[in-house]
Amino acid sequence: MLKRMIGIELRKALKNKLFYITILLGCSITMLSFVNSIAIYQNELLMQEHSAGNPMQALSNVFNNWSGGETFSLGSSIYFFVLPLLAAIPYGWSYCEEKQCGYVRMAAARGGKTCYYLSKYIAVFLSGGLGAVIPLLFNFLLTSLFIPATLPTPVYCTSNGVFFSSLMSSLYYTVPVLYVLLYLCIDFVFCGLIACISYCAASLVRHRSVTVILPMLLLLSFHYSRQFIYTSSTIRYKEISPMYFLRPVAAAYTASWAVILAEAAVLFTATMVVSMVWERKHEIY
Amino acid sequence: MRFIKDLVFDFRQGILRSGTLLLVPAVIAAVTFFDFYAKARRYLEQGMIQSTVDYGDYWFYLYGGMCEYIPSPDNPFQFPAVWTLIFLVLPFIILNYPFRDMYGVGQQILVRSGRRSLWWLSKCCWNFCGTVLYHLIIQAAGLVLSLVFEVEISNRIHMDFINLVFNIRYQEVWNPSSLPVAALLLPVLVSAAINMLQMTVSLFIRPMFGFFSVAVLLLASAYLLSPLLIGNYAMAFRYDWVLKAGVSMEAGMRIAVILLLLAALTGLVRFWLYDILESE
Repeated sequence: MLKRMIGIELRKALKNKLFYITILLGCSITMLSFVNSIAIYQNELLMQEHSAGNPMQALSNVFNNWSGGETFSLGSSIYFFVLPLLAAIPYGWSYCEEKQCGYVRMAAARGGKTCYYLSKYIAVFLSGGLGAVIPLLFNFLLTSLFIPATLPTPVYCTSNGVFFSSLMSSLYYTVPVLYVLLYLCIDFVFCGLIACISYCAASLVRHRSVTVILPMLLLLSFHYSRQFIYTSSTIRYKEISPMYFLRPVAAAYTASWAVILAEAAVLFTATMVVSMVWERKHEIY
Repeated sequence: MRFIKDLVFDFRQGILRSGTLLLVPAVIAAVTFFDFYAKARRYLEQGMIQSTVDYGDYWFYLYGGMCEYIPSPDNPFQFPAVWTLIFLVLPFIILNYPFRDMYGVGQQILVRSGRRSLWWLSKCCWNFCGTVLYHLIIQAAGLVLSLVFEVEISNRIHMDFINLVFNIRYQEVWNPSSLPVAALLLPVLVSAAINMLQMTVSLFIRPMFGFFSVAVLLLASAYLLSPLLIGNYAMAFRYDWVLKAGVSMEAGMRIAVILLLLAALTGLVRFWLYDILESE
């Protein structure tokens, strides 16, 4: 029954209009970054043609020109800012709607509460992760068509934005494709969990727009709390805000596995408890 | 008479009975004030600023936004957290009320109001007053906290503190010493225009996408110093009395009022044709 329920939920999550709209929106935003990167790269090629010096071929590569690899274009800035919304829009609202229209009662009566809530969690998680990562993957592949995948060199670390203390920096300078894929996995997991916040928000609020937007405001508030933590200008802090550490290149402080895993664990536990324990115990009839 | 009844109903339901609209700005004011106060004390203890800060500095801390961003690989874009929080929380709070009123029991009110235009105008007035109230609560709470923590109440600003807080390095700035009245009003007016725009946009697309477009607009405004992006007029640091290449406050006033009226009118026309039954 669980398998069937998961199948139904996944079909509903991945074959709905909002999922496609989110992917389209995400891809359009990353296109802004793509156009900017191509313009910069072509300008560099032009400059190289007219100079006899070092062509500095390792300076520009796909790894520091795709949306996740740079932190200064409008497209990239917008994309990572609205990432929580992009994660929640595809299917984060579904539980809220199903609760109101009575679908929950029917599904729980047929397949059991545990089955329904677990399959819903899995579907929301996957839709959130995919909704956020597909545009990034699209941008990376598109940028690869135009800019060579030269191995980045630490000599140009200021252009790459990946420094000695950065997360997985050794991987970035040795197997950059793996670095990109690993970062996409981190984004996938985190965005899945962010979408699950939306799912859990439906336990408290009745409006689906509110459930979709709430995770973004929570992350924004958490981002603001950095002001109380990062008080010294001499200490090298680790990035605690998902709005920054979900970017493969550091925008402020460097990311760390300890922070990422701890926050993911907290999010997972909290969303699981709310959806599988708290919500399951509630009367649905 | 019917319009007054609608308006009173909206004020009661959408403002006075809206706990979030009354509570959230007070919480924001309290949290940002403690952050501001702690920073000011730290800078003073470390000898980085010469004198104590005033209420004007707190106001600037809230509505300053950020200086002009110059894109480069070694200068990552960091959005202004305080400013974004203030201007993005409000659209979220007021997002649902008009649409909640269109469905279910709310439809009775729409029917009883007799004319769609009166209903919409009442919502526009509610939106504007809600926005003004939100900013008033933030500033009033800031004033009370300033009195409690013995921060002088004046419109003076200290550029040494502001330069430190906003991390000003290369930008050419004037050295103003006090806040002009127009600067105090403009962010509120821009906020009202943005909220009205969101309410109208939400009639064309879903409310969540209305919020999405406001979020993109605010971020784009922070990223790009341009007179065409209205968010620039909500950032005190982008005004031409602070930043030499800044935007004109006078133009900001005009643009905000035009956008406010245009959004309300477009919404009115759209609402005449809006199929409430189908949307439900």
